[in-house]
Amino acid sequence: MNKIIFFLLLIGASNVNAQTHLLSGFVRNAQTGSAIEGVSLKLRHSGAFSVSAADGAFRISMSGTRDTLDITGVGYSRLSLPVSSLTHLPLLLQLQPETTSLDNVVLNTGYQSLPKERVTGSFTPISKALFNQQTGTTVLARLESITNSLYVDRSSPGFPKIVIRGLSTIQGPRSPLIILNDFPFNGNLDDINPNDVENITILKDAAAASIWGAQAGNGVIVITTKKAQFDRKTTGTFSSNVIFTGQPDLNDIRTFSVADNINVERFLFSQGRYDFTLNNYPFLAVSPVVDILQKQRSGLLTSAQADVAIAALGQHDIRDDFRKYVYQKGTNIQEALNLSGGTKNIGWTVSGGWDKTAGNLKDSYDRKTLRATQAYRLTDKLQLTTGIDYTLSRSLSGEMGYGQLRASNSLLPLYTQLAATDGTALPVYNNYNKAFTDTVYGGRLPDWGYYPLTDWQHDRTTTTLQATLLDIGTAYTLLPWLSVNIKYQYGRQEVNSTRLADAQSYFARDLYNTFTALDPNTNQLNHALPKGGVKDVNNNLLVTQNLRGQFTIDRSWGRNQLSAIGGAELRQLKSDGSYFRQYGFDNLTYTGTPVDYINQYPDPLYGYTNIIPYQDGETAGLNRFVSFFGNAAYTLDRKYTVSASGRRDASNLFGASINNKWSPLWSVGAAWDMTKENFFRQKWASQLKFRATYGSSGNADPTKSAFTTLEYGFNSPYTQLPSARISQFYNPELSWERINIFNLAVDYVTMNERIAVTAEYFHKRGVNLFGNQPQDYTAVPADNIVTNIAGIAGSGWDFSVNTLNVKGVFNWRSQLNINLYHDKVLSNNLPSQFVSDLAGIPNYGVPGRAVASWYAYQWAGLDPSTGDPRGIVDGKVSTDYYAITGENAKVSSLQYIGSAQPKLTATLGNTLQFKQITFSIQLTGKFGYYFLRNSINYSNLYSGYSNNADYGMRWQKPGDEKITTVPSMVYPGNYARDAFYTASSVLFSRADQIRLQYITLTYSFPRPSLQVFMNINNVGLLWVKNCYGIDPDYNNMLAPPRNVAFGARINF
Amino acid sequence: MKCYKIRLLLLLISLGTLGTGCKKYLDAKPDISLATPERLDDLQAILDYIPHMIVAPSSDECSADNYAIGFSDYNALAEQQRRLYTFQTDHLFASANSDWGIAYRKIYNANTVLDALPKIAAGPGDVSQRKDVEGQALMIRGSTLFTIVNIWSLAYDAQTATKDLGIPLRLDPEFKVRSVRASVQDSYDRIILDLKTALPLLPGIAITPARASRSAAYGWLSRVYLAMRQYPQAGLYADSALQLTHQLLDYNTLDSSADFPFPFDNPEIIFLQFSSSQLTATDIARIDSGLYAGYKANDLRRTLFFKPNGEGYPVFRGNYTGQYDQFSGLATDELYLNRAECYARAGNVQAALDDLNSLLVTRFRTGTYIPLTGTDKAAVLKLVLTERRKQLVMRYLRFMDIKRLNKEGAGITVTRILNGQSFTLIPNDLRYALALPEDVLALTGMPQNPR
Repeated sequence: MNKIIFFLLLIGASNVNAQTHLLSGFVRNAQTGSAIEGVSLKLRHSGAFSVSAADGAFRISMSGTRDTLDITGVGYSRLSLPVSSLTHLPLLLQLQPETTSLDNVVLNTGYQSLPKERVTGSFTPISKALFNQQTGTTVLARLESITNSLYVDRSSPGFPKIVIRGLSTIQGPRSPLIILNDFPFNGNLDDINPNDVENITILKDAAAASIWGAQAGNGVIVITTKKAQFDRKTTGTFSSNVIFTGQPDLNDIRTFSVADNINVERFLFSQGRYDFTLNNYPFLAVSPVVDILQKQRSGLLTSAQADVAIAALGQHDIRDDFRKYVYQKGTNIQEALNLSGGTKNIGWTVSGGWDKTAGNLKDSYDRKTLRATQAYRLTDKLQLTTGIDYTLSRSLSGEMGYGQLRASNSLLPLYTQLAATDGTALPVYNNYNKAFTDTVYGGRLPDWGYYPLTDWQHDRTTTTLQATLLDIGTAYTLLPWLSVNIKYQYGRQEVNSTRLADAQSYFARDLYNTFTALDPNTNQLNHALPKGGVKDVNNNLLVTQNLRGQFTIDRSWGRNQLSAIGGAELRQLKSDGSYFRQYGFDNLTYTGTPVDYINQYPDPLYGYTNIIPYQDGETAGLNRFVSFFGNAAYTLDRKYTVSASGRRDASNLFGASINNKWSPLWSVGAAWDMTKENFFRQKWASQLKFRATYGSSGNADPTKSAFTTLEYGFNSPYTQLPSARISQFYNPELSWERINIFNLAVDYVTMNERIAVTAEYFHKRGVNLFGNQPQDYTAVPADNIVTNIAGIAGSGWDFSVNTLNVKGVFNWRSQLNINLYHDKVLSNNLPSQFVSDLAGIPNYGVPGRAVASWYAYQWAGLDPSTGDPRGIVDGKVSTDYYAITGENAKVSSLQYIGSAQPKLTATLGNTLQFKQITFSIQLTGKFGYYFLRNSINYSNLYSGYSNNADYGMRWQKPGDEKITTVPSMVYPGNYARDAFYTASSVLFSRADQIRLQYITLTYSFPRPSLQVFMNINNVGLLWVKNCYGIDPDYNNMLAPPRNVAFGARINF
Repeated sequence: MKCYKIRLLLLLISLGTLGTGCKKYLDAKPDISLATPERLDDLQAILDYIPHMIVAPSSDECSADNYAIGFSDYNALAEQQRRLYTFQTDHLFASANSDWGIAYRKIYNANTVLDALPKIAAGPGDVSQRKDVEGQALMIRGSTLFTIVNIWSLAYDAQTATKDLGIPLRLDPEFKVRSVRASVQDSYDRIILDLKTALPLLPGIAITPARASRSAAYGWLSRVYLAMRQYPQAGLYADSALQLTHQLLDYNTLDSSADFPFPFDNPEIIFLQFSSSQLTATDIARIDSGLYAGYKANDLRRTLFFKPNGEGYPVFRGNYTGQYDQFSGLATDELYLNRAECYARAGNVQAALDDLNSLLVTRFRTGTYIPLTGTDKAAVLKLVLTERRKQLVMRYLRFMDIKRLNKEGAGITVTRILNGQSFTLIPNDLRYALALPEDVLALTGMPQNPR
């Protein structure tokens, strides 16, 4: 009874005197069958009004016997239906989704789901259709090429970073917060099956993100997986695809030629570079060329013989071996099954996924996911939802790739042969001279050679991940407009990594031999280590617990609508790790042998004494957070909306200072839907909405502390007592970073909803940002200390344009995202700046310049007589490299190159559909920034750390300076000269690029509902601005190879 | 019904108060291996951290005359090492990993201990540990400041010490205070004060020579006064140390076939300190031929200290550390030699010879040692200094000795010859005070040593 009274209040019924008849029913999505919440139902004559509930149910009171029911849902086609007192109940209303509409998607913040028409903040929803145009096993990889205001920064090789709306920090953590099913996700995102994803929303401004408080400063990505719903017919989807990955192009790494490699070694040999090793450490390995030259010098080879031998080496290129023996084509098979259904009181989903990847390097990855969700309507007012996710993945290491395979601490010579002509594995130059180790102690030592082609089979790392995520939630409807939710999530992620280097592996043999000594009295070899393999085990367990209590108000009365949430949450992350090693490990019996970790044993080669490495230990961590949050939006006449949010966070990360623990963050916003105004009846706009917000989010670095912090390590060998290192220095002013964002937006829909445009302008200001402050290491043992010294300001435009260009039998849709961004450092109270900290190193934060900006030493060409690179000191051309790069050089002597992050990013997708055939093509572009080309660093060349193709273009004789900018070779290496050249302005180029990310072709059979598709990913660069043809995203590293996928998806 | 609602709301509110009320919840340690220094054991753990606390600079020995380097080896060295070897006036050190940085890191750690100590409430029965920890920190600070002043300031000269540029005296961990250079006099005054303050706090002998002890503090004081050429005190403190420990290792017990013949637990060691550098490394640093020639055939040190490297040059391997790193700490042999020198300078010739003979008899093949004799004060002093150099080779004392002896007219010139080019360091050259790191000077405005 109560319920009906509330409903009457809710709908504001006016004709209480007339005869009334109650209409009831459900609103469903005509395509998916799922319930639709928030649909407006209005009786044309009586004006009675209602909104559908979360399960799609509605009730509306009809006066009189006949009327017309107008049903309007955002993102759905309008529906009108004649009704009478005789209409069969319940009514089942099926709404057709409108695919081009801006308001297609419900926005999810992780705390609540909001219809787009009532939000003030900046959200980017990712449409499922677009998301599923790509294949691939990870969620994040699919976002890069389709998401407004998101791009991936690849400036640090091997560590791609997602950036949302430009950088918000200089030195602090940069990753956006990832929310999975309403709670922050701390596991490995690669282990989530993209087939389970229901929707993704990017939260960009303060009104959207500040509900996540001190973790939201870099933006938030909210991922929600499929959930159980009531009243659904049982449906299922099965999809299967296979991806073929090509081999990487080894020429991506710009190395010098084989001939140059040999010439450099010959030169260094003639300079006596290797003499110290050759004379004093005959057991240490030298490269094959050096070995031949040494034999020539000591008379074992004639000069003609040496030349022949070296020429023979020069015939070989290690990359050929990598192509032939190491790299292979990769494959990936993905299978996924999703089932769902629901009755009035119980809803359910079950899904399973299986992925199997064979990598380019004979590595493998295998993932199984299982997921089930249930929803129970226990009483009219009480709902219970449960979810369980289970992931089991296993990866197995493969071979070392080109560039990874190295000698002990230098590059392998390019002429290195990995295999003999018959394909058998050859030992390569590594730590020790094989000729020596084969003969020392009368040749009684086990083989000490390193055979890369077979070693990986004996030295493999298996990583197993088991992750379980349990969700339980209750929703109790106290009043029709007020509900209380309690949600609890328990996550357990167990990662076990086991490296088993068997008795034949180089790793085990090297250790075994290192702990072998000859007893001069007995002439026996003594082994401190047992024979057998070495097994390293690393176990990590992460248990996360989240508890949230929240109330939700959703009330409409008269002209008013109020939606609000508020609550509190506790969050705990507990990690435990252990690692241990077993020596003498036997694969068959699965046992190791105890060893002596106390006594010192002499090394057979150097004669040092060593203790057997002890690799056992434990780690434990505990992070706790307490937060209070609230968010409210009030809408008047469905035209004017105001919103406000607030959040306080506390954690155990910062130690005692209460002020730092409690960091209140808030936002306010307003929106005006002009099209709802009576005066606005314009043909040129079906929607015109303005939004404005302002507020703050935070950014906390869990690794920083304001207090002197000790890190306990090993026991002192002298006292056997624990010893500790001071890991953080007393820094009482340290606090969280804060980012204030102002956002202004227009949503515009026109041409019968065929064109939808959102334009947003934002301005953000980062205050209290972490900055590296150079330190006088007389006073504190660090070159730099992070303090809250910096401030930045950034502003930009986000444009998203969705169009239906051609409609009919042939459909053509486009999605264009354009993001402009510009920022600068406002303050960064560096007491002093060294040019060497700036030149060639981005992200230093110089006031007045872009947050990530490049500085370079001014370039004055090569000296025509010596080929020395020349810079500028006090306005004059100079080769005084200390003056150019040293402590006394002024920052003003550097040349400002420009931004190191793109100022304009864009994505363009086109989908063409003709009958059953759909073709999609996605382009991405990044513009307005620079990158630093790698070039030759002679000091590193001599040490064998690096080399570069530019070596072949070096200045060699007067006149060369007209055709090259690569300096002449000098020996010994001059560190300052190299430092100058490798960060000089001549090595900077524009990084602007346009990339064809993927092409997808789909054919849909109507009955049974079946789709077959082909997708080509990483198609390649279409255009780069630099004239060297270098891919700026993969500068001097292997770019990911192109892959081709074939697959099918069936719905039943 | 209403009651139920209120209960639910109360639940929510109590969820909230759980957070505010439960301060303990947020005071949990985020990482089990992390701690703030709040127990005496934490402070001892800082002092026991071997990679920081046992390591000392090496540029003093690198600048002395015990060794030479071949040209091709020289070319293969890192640039700062090449500059150091050839007595360049600048760009010898940069970054916190340089000799300057590692020395002041010890001082920072000691200051952290001294700063935290009064804030730790006294517990029952921890009086002796508290004194011990304080004494250790003071001794480390005093001895490290001495190592620094020896490398970066000119030799102590009582006439000019109040004007000569000394070193920054950092006495607490508050790093916002700008570093300034004290005078040489003030620097030595602080060193002596720290070491003397440490004396009554420390145990006579520590449980391990890796920890400071009273014998070590006496030993450092002896070294400091020797550097100041205040010989009576130097002799007295050497004697005080030897009162506590005077064991000498009989070199006849050692095995010269081992790569590094000296044992890890050498009883002569009073205080353990490691130094190492690319320049002075075994195999690269060829021992000065005149010095090597001074060891007689029956002198065990000829083979225990040295071995020929791959090119046939004698190189030093007699590290008291028993391993690759070299020993720059304190041992009884040095104190015998300190005391002998001070006896000789005071004219107590017999006492000087007695010390010398008791040391040397353990260095010669058993039964072959002929005790030294003499009556002339100058001749005995010369004898002591010769034996000092021979016993303390590559012990990071030669640079100090050259500096102080040149002040007395010894006229020791250090010469490097590379590919025919020679580099010399004449007596009392301004370059005996090495250049401070340029980046530190730029940050603090401290003056560079005069060049």
